[in-house]
Amino acid sequence: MSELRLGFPGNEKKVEVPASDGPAPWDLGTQLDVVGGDHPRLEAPLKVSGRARYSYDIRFPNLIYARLLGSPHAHAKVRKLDLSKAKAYPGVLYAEDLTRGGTVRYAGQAVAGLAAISEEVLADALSLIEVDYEVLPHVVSVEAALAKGAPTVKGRGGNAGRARVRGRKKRVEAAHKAADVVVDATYRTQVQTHSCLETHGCVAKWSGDQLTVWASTQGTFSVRRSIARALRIPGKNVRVITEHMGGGFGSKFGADVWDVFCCKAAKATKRPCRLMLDRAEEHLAGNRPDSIQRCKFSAKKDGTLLGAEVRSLGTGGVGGGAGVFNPGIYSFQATYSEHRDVATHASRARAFRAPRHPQGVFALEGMLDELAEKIGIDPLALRLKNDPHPVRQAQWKRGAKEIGWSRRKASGSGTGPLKRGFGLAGARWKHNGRPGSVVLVRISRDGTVEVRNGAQDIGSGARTLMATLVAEELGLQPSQIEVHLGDTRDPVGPASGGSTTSPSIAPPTREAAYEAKKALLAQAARALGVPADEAKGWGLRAGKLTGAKKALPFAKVCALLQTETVEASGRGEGSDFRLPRFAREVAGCQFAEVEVDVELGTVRVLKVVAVQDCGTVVNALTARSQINGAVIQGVSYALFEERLLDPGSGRQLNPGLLGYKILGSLDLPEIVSIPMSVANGITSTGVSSLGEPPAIPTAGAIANAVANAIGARVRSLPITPDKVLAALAAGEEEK
Amino acid sequence: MKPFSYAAPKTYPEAAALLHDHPLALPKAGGTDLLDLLKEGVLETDEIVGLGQVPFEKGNPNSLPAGMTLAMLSDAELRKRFPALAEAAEEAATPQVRNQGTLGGNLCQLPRCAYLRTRHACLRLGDDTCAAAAPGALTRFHGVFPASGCLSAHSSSLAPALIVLDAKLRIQGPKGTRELAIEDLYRSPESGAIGDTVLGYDELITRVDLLPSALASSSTYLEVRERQSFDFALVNLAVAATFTGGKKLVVKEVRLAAGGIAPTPRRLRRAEAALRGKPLTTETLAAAGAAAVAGAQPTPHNGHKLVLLNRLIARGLARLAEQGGDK
Repeated sequence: MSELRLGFPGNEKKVEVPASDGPAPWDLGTQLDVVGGDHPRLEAPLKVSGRARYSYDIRFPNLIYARLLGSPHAHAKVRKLDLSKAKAYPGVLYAEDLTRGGTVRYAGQAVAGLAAISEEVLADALSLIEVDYEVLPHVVSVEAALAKGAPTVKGRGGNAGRARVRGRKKRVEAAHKAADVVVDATYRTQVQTHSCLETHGCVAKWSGDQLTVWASTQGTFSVRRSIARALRIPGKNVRVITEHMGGGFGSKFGADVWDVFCCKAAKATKRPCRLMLDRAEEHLAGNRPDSIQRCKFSAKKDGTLLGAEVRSLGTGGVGGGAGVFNPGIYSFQATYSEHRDVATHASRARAFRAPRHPQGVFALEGMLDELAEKIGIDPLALRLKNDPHPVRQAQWKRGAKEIGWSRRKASGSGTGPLKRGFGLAGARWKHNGRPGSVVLVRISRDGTVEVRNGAQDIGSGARTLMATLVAEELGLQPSQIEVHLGDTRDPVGPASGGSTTSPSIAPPTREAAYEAKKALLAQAARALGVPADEAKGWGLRAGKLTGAKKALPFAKVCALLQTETVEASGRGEGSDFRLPRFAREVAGCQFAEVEVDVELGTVRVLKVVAVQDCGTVVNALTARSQINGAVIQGVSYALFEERLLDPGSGRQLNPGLLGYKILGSLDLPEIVSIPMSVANGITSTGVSSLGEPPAIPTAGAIANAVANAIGARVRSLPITPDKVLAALAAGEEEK
Repeated sequence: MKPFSYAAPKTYPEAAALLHDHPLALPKAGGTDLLDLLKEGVLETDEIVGLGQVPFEKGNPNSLPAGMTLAMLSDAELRKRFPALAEAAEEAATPQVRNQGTLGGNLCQLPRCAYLRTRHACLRLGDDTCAAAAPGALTRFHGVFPASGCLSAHSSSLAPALIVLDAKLRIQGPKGTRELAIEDLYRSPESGAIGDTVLGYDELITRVDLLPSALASSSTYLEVRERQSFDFALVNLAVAATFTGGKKLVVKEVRLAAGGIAPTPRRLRRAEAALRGKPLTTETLAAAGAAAVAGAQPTPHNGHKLVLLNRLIARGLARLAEQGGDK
């Protein structure tokens, strides 16, 4: 048995763990040389100079182009689809009718596909496809879908799905009865689209029965599997390459109808084929569902939270997954929630960076602030009183200090048209590492170190993370390590969903480096004639052999290899992922400072402080970058983004990035990202999830700051000037 | 986008002649909006007459070539003589668009209407109905003064500024030039016609002439937009005003023009009348605000535009009063 010191300075816990053959787990006592430092992304020079090749950039001399034709109607039966004119158009090489079942259920749903020698020919030929639609009535909003006599989206029954119930109604009612303060309010959130900078799609190229697909994906292996299944060919015949990708956020896991069409067109024409969506199509390829959350929360006068009752509705269009994470985070005496997905004639929702959470936390934290306001207690004090998480307890204090929480004044108390406000919100996430990934580390006689895994880098900086872990084990710098990612010919890796990649890939990476090091040192000892027992204490640090008589540099040690290379695989299995953990969940919290022009209703976010636990911080630079990105997306969600579907046509009114407003540089607040290193245990590296948790609290913190600034509450996202003015006017009327 | 031929004349008369000979041709200045409209299939043409090759000299700050980019309008001399114009140019769009978009193009842009731009039913495009007028339509960004059934909102930032500066436009046609007051450029709502400007299909704006005056140099521009980076104003307003009196300022002369509220930029004459000769008090401002929005027909989604217009008027006058005083 050995002892692990878990936690963080100020809150330490000692646990016993069984000894293992693998690398000793890192804990609070471990001295790390490169892990935790600031390491620029290995591929940064390629990206900033435009040399990084994305799927979008893959071109071949005889490349052909493919596109799908979308339905202009939100709900229609396809009576007849005639491709003959399009097929006959000079330059068109392949055409396919995609109207399975004959009914389209959202505007833009693909009905046919074409491939041609150029994008110009494609555009012309698409307009020659003749489709005879029988237009049917549609609904694109939750309210319309629930109205009496509404057309049904999914064939039989109403549009409201079965209620998912958690908790007991009677218990929460009893809790409300015992309360001093009860707040009853309805919160709404909008549909947000992923708006990946690189749109979805791929380039497909066949060589005999072997298919190579350059896919913009967050799951190379999941794309391989789904393409093989769709084409009914063995997975081994499909190679998926994603060297670099321009954003996925949950919308790019498998092969989509367009990817499969692209592969088929390439096969039929025996030419490489490219199909990347345009922006309007990208808006259809996934979204964060909207929500309507009717909340009733109660508390005692002293701030003890009692009951939390939430009834929610939301639409994932023709898909589902519109649930909300509300209630949660805090210790309520009793909770009850009831959710229904409502089907509408809109494109399918997909996982979106912390699915369910940002929308739930926006309402949850709003309700907590409403309780705090009614009780007359500071919102921060209310959190500290009811937050059971040991890490977040420390984070609240750290964040409050960083934002200057003591500057917060009573809500709406400022003078003049520009009013300042402060708000906060919390987040939780799972420690989401999973076993099953394999990492190869290869050390060559010439001193090069190569790391291979087939998973993609979704943007978190996975390459650099792996290089840093290997560098730590081999006593090198991350820039000395060559990492190959994004090719399914290499060992299996995780899909980037649920913030799993770093925590899943880190343990096998370290293990592979550890094993390769052992093999290297064993051969070196043999070459130097040092008995194995004596060489047991050898190690590698700061570019040199340690523990030996001569501190040989790393390159010299490698030169002693009798074989061309030594290599080892890390499997991240066995005891890894089963070590004790310091806390059950990942914790985070954010604070926002805003300035609201109460005459014009405009909101400026001045500063966001994000304190985020992510287990061991491997690369502080990319960790901060990931938090920055999440906060930026959160500010954008809070103030700007909203998919607008016209009720009359069911079509999107803002299909471009001019109308679908994403925050720009002038809207960017000062962001203070604080990745908090916590010795979490769990695996030999203690690395945990970071991609999603910081995307959760931003909107909630901003909304609370706005309410603090203006003394009225906007319970609907995005917080646009019309809503701010309406909230202020309603507040005036109450007075 | 449909294929089109492209002519690049070297002079305005040549350009006007080309337009005259090809009635379906479209003139292109910076092209920042036109090319998008063509790509989206909102507009179609088989010929584009590009104006980029027509040379111009900007030297005289009182006579601005229509080919000047918005970025060029952000100029110290212009800022001194015609602050509303320089400010309006600086608030517009993005640095990229300001480097490409021109003075003439900005004035002749199509109004913003999500329905028009996503090819929904549109009176302007020759349809019988307006999708934005349908019950339940999403109209947060639409106008509050519909004209001839069109609910769109004109979003030029320069037009309101030039209206309060009383600019005169030089127009080139196939048979010669004519002069037009900027206020007369846009079709009045009462004309009954759906359209943007009174320019013939073969006419072009070649210059914008301005007259320096005490009123012009005491002007300013304000706008409210949801997003700071690249967004069209919900409401924009240009104000020019002079005052008399010491402690208690009295409005001497005043001109107001607003965008984002109607299919064309609007001069707010009734509000001006409510201000002229009156002390600058809360009551006066309230009267001016009420006059500005009199007769408005907001939709269920855009009532805030009336509030914003009111507050911009008050803010604009306050800003000028602070700067100006006795002029």
